[in-house]
Amino acid sequence: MRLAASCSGRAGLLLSAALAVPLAIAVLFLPLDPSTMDLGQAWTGPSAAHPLGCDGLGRDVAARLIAGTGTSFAIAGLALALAVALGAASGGVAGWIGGRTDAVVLRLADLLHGFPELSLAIVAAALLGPGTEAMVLTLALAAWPSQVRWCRALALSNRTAEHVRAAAALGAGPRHTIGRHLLPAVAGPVAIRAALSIGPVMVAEATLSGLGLGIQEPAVSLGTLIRDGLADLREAPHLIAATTVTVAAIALAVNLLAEGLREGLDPRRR
Amino acid sequence: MTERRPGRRLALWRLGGRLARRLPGLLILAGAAVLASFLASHALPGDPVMLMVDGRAADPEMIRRLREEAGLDQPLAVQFLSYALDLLRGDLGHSLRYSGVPVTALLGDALPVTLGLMAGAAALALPLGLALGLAAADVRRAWPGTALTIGSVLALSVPPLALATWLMLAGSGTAPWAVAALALPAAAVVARLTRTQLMEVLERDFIRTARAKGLGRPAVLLRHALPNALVPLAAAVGSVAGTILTATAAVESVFALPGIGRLTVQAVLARDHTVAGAAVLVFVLLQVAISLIAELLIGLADPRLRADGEAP
Repeated sequence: MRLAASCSGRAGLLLSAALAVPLAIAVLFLPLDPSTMDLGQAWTGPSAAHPLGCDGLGRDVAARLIAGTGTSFAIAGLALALAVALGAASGGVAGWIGGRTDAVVLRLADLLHGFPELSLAIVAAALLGPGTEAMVLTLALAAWPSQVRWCRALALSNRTAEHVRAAAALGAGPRHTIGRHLLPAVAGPVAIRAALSIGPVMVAEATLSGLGLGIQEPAVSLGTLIRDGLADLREAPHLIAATTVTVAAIALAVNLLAEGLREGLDPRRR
Repeated sequence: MTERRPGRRLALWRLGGRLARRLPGLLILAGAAVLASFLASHALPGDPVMLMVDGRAADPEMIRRLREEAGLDQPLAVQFLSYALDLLRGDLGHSLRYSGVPVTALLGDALPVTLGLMAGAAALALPLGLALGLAAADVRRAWPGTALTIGSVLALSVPPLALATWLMLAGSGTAPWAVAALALPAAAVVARLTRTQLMEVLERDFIRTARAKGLGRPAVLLRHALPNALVPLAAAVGSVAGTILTATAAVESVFALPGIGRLTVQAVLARDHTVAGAAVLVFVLLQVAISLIAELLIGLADPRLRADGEAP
């Protein structure tokens, strides 16, 4: 397997396994709920019943981390799916048709790229109200420009590829050329590119929600957990420590896997 | 030194031309940013006057008068036009939270803090990153490259809020630690990029020529390889400018530095929409400034702009 061939890939697999084992044990053997409050347990340290301790409302930190990880993965995946769908549609059409359409789409991508994620987050929160929808929209818009450029470049290089021109010369219509020759050729690279950006998107979610600009209570994400930890920094530093270390470890595992994938797929390294 | 003067002037001309070609795009971006800023401060559920009276029993006649004074009874397009005109006069309205304080005054107080933090971080991250990248650009040993790869993956994985918190808990809440929280990940990324680019440049023909002339390794690296390796760095800085701003906001929040990021976060949480709307515009301008400065600085080092003929 190519992923295990590179140092980063191996480290990523190892770290993912190291994170997955306690996760599986916690899910299988500990009856944890992220929102059950037990004020008697407020700010207690690690114990057998609560392996990472409890927060200021007596909620189990481990359970909240597990729930938050799920939310953050879902949000990052949703945002990337949205960015890839929109990017593939607009970028693919732009690269395939070319001409004025191409120029307009590229201009739009440049324009959106000019907006930092903070600005996007503020506008999205103002239009949709702060919360999950606004966060997904923000992350999708932030990821869209690079997806457009990538999909456009792929469509452009495939349009002029010999097998596509041969198909056209044999009388294939656009439907056949796109369905049988373009889409199968670009699906892999597009999916890989999207997979590579999951880590950065998760970090962006954790930062924006951690600042209070993204996911809001009572929803739990890695970002809201950092925010809770920051609020309780003086009373219970172990909360922010547990949260930030876990978030960093998850992002590191995802990024190492991406790095391994990149190295494994780089033709110069084979 | 004298014979290099014309080359330098040529470089400035070409750099100017390159920047001038970006002007139409920047103008469109400015227009879009003003529109986004207007949307963020106006198109919300409940207008500022309703927020002002917020739940308290208020005379409907007074509400009508207040809305009329604020121009909120006008159509949205008219409101946008007057917003844009006020903006051109340097008037961004008044904060809803600190009633009566002009938004420009709040921004004017916060901007130097943010710029100082970013300048400090750049002053630390660029030399450190370049030095590490230069030191690691050695094909005979593999471990420096591995170390830089690990460092840069770590830098991209640890959320800025997490790093800032760790440095604050481990060190102290003073400004140098805030600068370090912003600079360390940046230095790691710069170092890795510098090394990758150097390794590529070092394989080119003009490097072999320089070596064949009998130049030593420091001269080859610093005079011939580094300027060429720097060029992609400008594009890289431009493309992560948004991330730099988010990280700055995170560091300001953790270290309680009264900069633009902290001001904005507090404004959004307090539903101070005029300040939040203005911040949309300010962040776009800051991002443009970061990428232009990076392009300008590194463009001056670009040997291809200085050369009279083709690229070396």
